[in-house]
Amino acid sequence: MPENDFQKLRPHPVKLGTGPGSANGGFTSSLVAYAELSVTSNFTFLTGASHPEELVERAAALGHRAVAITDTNSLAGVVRAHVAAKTAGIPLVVGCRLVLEGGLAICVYPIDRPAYSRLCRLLTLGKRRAPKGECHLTLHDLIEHAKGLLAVVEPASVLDDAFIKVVHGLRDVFDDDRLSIAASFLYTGDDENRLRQIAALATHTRVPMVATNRVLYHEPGRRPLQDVLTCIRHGCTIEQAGYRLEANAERHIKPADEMARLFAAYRDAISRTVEIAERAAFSLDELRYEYPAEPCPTGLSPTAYLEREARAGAARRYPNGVPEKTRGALEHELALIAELKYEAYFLTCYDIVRFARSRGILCQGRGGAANSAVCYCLGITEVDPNKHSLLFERFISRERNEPPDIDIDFEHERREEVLQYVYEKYGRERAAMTAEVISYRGRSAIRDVGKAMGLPEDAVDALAKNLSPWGEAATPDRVRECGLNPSDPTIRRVIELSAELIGFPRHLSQHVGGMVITRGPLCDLVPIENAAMDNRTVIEWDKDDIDAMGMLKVDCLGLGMLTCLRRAFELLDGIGVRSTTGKRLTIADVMEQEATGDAVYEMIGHADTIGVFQIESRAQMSMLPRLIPRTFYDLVIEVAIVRPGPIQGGMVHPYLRRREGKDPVEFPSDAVRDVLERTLGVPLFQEQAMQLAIVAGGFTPDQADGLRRSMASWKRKGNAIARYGEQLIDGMVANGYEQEFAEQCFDQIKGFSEYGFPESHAASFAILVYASAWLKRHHPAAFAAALINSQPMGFYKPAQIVRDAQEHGVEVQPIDVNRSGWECSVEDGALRLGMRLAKGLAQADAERIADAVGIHGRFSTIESLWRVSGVSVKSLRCLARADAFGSMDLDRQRALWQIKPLRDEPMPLFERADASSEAGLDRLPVISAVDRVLHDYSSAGLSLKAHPLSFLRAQLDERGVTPAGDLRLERLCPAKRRVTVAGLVLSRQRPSTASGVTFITLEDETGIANLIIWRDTFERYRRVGRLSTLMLTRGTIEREGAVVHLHASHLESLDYCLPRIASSSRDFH
Amino acid sequence: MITACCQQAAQAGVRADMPLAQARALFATPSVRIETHDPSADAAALYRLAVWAQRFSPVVAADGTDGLLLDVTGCARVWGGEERLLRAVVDAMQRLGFAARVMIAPTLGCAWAVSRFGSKRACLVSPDSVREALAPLPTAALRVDGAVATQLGEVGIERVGDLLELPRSTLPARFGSELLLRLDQALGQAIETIEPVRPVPPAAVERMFDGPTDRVEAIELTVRELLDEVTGELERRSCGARRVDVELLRSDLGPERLTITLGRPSQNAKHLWQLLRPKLERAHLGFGVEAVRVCACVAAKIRHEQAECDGVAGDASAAEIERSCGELLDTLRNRLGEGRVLRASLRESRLPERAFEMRDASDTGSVTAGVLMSDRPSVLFDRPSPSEVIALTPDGPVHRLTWRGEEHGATACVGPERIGGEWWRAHPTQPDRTRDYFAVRDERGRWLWLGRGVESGRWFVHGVWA
Repeated sequence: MPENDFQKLRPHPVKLGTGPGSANGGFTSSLVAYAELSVTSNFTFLTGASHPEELVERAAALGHRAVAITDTNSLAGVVRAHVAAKTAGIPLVVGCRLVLEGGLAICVYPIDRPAYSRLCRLLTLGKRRAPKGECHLTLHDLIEHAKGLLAVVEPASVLDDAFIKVVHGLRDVFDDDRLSIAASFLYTGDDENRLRQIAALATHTRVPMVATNRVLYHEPGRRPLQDVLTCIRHGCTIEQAGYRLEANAERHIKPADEMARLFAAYRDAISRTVEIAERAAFSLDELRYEYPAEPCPTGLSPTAYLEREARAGAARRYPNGVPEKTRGALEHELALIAELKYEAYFLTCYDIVRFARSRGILCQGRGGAANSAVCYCLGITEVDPNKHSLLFERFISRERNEPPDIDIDFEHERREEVLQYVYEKYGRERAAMTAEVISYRGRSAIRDVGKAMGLPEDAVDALAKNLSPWGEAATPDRVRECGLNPSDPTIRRVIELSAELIGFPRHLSQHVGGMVITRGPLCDLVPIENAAMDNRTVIEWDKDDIDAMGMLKVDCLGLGMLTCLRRAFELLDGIGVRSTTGKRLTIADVMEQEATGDAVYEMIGHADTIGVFQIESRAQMSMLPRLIPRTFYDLVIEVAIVRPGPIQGGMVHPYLRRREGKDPVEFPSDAVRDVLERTLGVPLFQEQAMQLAIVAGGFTPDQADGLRRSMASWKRKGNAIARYGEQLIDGMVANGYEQEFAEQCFDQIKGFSEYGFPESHAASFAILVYASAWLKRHHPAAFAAALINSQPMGFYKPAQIVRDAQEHGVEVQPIDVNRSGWECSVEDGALRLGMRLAKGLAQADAERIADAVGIHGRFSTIESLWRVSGVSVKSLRCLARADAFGSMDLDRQRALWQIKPLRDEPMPLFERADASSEAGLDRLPVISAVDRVLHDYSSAGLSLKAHPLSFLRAQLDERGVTPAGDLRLERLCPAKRRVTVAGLVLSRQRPSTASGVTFITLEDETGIANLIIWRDTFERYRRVGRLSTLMLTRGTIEREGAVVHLHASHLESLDYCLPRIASSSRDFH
Repeated sequence: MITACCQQAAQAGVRADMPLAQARALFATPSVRIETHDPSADAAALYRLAVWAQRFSPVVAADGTDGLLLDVTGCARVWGGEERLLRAVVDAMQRLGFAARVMIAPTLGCAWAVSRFGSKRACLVSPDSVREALAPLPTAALRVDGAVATQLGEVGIERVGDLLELPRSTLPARFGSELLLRLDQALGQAIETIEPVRPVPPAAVERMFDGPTDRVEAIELTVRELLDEVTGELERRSCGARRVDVELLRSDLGPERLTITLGRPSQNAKHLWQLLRPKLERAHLGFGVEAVRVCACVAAKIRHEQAECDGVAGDASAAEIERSCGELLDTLRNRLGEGRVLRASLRESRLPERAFEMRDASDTGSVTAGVLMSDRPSVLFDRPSPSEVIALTPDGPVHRLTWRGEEHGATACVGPERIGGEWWRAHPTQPDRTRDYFAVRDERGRWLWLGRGVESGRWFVHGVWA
């Protein structure tokens, strides 16, 4: 989903890949054989102060024989540790520190796959019975699942008889020398005595002692961060934390010889660590993920079934015979799928899509494997492989044994039905949502660290507010901007520590749509916990972990535009607009006529795209008149080009210049021509970057994939992409390309790091762009109705959608109890607003009214409507506020006056005095037209009567204010002319990419004005800029083609002209 | 949330009920002064103002959180007419530094409405212009709750005048009966009373001598008698004195004031006298004292405890000890001076020198730590004294040490205990202050607490077990 296009702050180790020259990290083992077995990573939230990768790398660098990760009641960090350990070349001991009820802590390590499954089941048991984020386990539970687990019990603070009894009991459970007792030398002053006691206990109980350092961080420098985490966990400041803090910085991973020195008198305790590590030989590599067996019709293998369905689909798609190109692609893909045994995956997606279709839920696949001929024939996507050349190879390759990737978008309001279907079909045992690791980002890190360090709340606020929301740590300049002194020791600490904290996981949440499905029980693979939402279960691993483990995941996402399209097709069905076969329209029907869609493209070229998918934002709209899309592929480019990736990679201008014919389109070689021809020699898509690396830079597909992964994360791990950069540039030069061209290519590729759009996604989105634009062009009333009915979605509020429809000649009828349903509808070609626009009205009540009207016919009095429909007085009041009694000849004021005496409960006698609804009507004060309009805005968010600005026009004319509509006309408003414009503030934006520039959109009764305000101007008019809802501005006109902006140099609030507006207008931010 | 702001801030766009962060964003510079809202202090100040305002009328009440109600019926004559009274109030408030809005109106409701919603800072509404005065005001001026005012606004009734136009009978069914009541109260058709403040004067007694006297015995005796009277009064009020002022009114000089303060409220005349006596002995009597005044200026409630019940002593003995301890502290403090009597209390810190703090003895409030974490020596030196140490291994047992010029052999050594510095109190560039501590027994059997800076490698003795 486009909303989620922020980069991950700390890339999963699997994303960093094994780049050139990073073989095995130079692992050499130390002289003393030691393995650290008690390691708490930061996946024990707010406790551990190092990432699993850091811990593993540190242990490897110190030459430990192995390292364990033992997070408390969790396996959330093990996949990262596993991947990092493989890279570093150190054996990883998968483990978990179980804290049982009563406080007993035991680290357990599975020796084999069945034992690991038991551990997962044990954790699942404890988590499912506890509230989210907790795990309730008893000793009894552990005993039941103890088979195959090695255990290290942490000694109680007092080694009394009760503890000895526990150890005896555990020894019987963990027989066959599987139990050990942990001993640590943590410089408490009493360590030697304590070690002696534990050793005595060990001898007495015949349970061997094992040395651990109870690690909380990889190196002692993390002590401050760990202290701060402790404070955050306890919700106290560092001054208040007292004894809750650790006394010293000893709980880091120590060199083996240092451990040997500390345990000089207990050599066996050191050698025991290696013994345990060797016995706990289970590796995550043993987890053999299996696709769910997709039930096929009897007698058919999955391969045959997939083939049959794909061919049948192809016949359906191409009634006039399957084109040669597609037939070839189909054969090729089917062979590849069969070879890699991915049939079940495609069949699963097919099944989900088929279910959605059967329920009339619109859906569309996108992403990696989706843009294949197979998926087109199965109906998963609408991107016709015959018309668009999209590479299947990139998404599924023989070299990378990695599951294919298909995201399926569903109507956002009905996605839950699909999820529940999956749960039902595979059972909660075998299907669950993937987790999303919620990590600290700039703001949250500053906030929590600042609080823990005891900064005053407003200083914390100021710091947090001044940071851009994603990532980015505080720089001294930003601190100075907040009026704080960056060299103040506490401030410095806060900044240093929050920079370290960024990327730390804070809790697990549920991924928006990723579902994992397995053949066997899922809880054999990974612990499952409850989600915050009822009826949902979530595994402990996130999607990178899933990727790393090669598990199947289907992303079921919600997309508002699909809801809107389905509604529009329904509305059209209702008024008799159907496909050529007489059925309800589908996206495919619309796409069939794409070739003859000149009118649609013309509209798009004029940036007349309010409500159209993706290309309705201000940035997109200012690009459209320059790009002037004429074909479907132009839309694909349009979707992809207005994104942070291409913008920051500097691809936009070269592309536009070439397109406008200002620059020549040249290719240094034919190989490069093949890759870049369709984008005029400028790489715009992620896959082009990869292909370029392969054909020009001599990369293997594997390396190209590593490049892609590092593109997603170079900010954090800059060195990885730099390494690829060298290789790429060297490779290209070696292949005879010029140094300059090579460097330019690499710079562009780096731009994708921010966010590059894969072509396959862009193509799927472009379909929705075209379909929505087609509706807007040919059926504006139905389109506007469907858009409003699908709110909240998109950039625009109902007021702008209605206004836009009016400008396209659609007649708009007000909400009316006698005519409207809950939703907006199309009535004789006009748009009839639905009762859903009446603020505060319950859907059920609106439907009761509509039903009552259907049975009874139109009502002439409120009271009769009330009695027949039985809705609450509160709902009537909402409707009256929305001025929905027009057909009874009652305006808002009079309707409310009549409703006022009605009571849902019987009235107390004395209040009955004069409840008759007519009384006093004639003596009510007169409400001005302005106030009526403003009331409309506050109760329904829009007014069909007039624009508030129209009441001020005479006043504004006197001040020489230009109507916003005139800005479009170059004759009246040539570039560089200074004009004054006034309007309602529709939006304020300050994108982080725009270096302090604020964008404000104003609206008056004639149109829209787009303001650009530089930072210093904004600072000067801070108050007006931030608060006023009605604004007057002076500025210089900027024109670029049909795009008009106003460089504002002066802002002024006009709120005083319509005093009510500040309280009653739309929700401005 | 913003509760209130100054005019300058209001001009910048700050409003009540605005989140602080949003208000901050209105200012380019961070030089905004922000005070925390303290509703109880506001209420106390308003109460004091109400007491002060009794100079204008005997019937004064605090009204909500931001107003004072004065019943000036019949008071105007004293001031020479309502106009003058109004002016006097305005002037007096201004001198106090308040920008008050002052109204005199025939009804409480009308005065409330006009003062809060009227256009003038001060005005007078005559009995026959109540309707006129109210008509242009918004309906909120009728002291109806916000929901009712909103509902009225919805049907276009914005002003009181709109409401007066409508038939009375149509209102209760639509807007509830409170609206009519409020309307009537404002118009004087319903009765409303105010509950005036009645401040309690401090317990004080005064006695005049027949003539100036410089006989100390006589003065002492009088003071003791007056103390008895004052404590008697305090007992009736279930209070104890926290501060007692004794004023000696001298014939030719200004009054001499002797003040004693107490750590806990007391009504024990004997105890008070003991505290007072040394001060009285030193007092300068001048040419003679004409009168003595004793006043328990600050008093606090005392909880009564049943000392004994049916022969079974309750917690009386503990309470008794606490009481006498308190009296001892009072005595010490009144003799030695404020801030000279301290008590040590524990603090949760691993650093030995920060593990306790000295507080004023009367400060019995929040003790953060209850226990010591580890074994600590009974004597901790203010300044650790340097020592030379021979250890066998880097952090291994101490072998020999030289301290205060004497060399000792170590016969036992426990440790190390490693204590990290409190990094958050140090500058980020400062080196790490981690130390190792050892408990070392010398050959005389004495245990020393030996420390070593891990970075510096310097040894010191930080304390001994005595």
